[in-house]
Amino acid sequence: MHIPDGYLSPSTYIPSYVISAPLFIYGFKKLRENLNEKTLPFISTLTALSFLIMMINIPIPGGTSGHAVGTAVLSILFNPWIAFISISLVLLIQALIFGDGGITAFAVNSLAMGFVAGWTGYFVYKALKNINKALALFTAGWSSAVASSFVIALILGIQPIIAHTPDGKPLFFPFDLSITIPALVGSHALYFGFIEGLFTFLTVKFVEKMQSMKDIKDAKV
Amino acid sequence: MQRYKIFILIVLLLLLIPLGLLTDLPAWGEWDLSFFEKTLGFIPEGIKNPPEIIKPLIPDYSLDGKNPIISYYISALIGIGVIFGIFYILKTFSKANER
Repeated sequence: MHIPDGYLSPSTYIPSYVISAPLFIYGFKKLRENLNEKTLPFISTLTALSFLIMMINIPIPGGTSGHAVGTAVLSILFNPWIAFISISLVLLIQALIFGDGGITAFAVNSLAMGFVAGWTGYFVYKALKNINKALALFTAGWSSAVASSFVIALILGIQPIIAHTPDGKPLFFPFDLSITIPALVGSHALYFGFIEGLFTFLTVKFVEKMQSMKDIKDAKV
Repeated sequence: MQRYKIFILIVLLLLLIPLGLLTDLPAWGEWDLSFFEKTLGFIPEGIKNPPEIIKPLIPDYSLDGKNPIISYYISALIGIGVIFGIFYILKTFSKANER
């Protein structure tokens, strides 16, 4: 999910911007270093693809819905820094133009769905690719979704503990970890992780089949 | 364009975009204010009055008075247009280009 404005206390979102600022700067530098005639069409198309796949909401049992994100695809085909910055760009456009995800929550959303998802997918793929490539791609996607849902669940779940009125009424997101972890991590482990895994597998396979890998090798790190 | 067959993926997903409208169910946590009222008996102060930094141009990917599918398509095209535009600008100023 994209955390909206009003769900996080300033004592959460201000530090999240402080932590993410140097990561944004470094990632942006990495992206710029890698953008050239050959890589631009791939990185921009895969970023646009992420935007589109996030519009395709899929309902699950229990009255909610969700979608794939596409971070692991960028992370595996390029590198986790490029995935982080590209997904952050998508999240920024969603927040500013479409009101999808908050502006105060932007840094947390992008640390979860961009940074954590990107590095998780990258390392899982690296660890498994020599055993079985299809399994590695699927598991990278699955674990990237589960890892980012864990970060979101953690940040949301601590809100009632750190921000409430003197008589204990939560000021921001009201449900604690005992609710957020099963609801978010559970639904990602059981459903959205599979959607992300499948999307990662299909997209990476498609790109590798259709495109000469020479074209994208330039931006591998 | 022949070189970049990867663009087929964009066309494919654009065709599938209306599927995203089949469900009214929100993502877990992205509830209406009435949900909090109903479950908690009150709406947390921060959620009731969220900081409004900027008014989104097309809230929830829907344009007033337009068919939802057309709104969704317009939103999708604006989104990918902005993404391609930003990358194009970035590339123009990119280091690889200075070589």
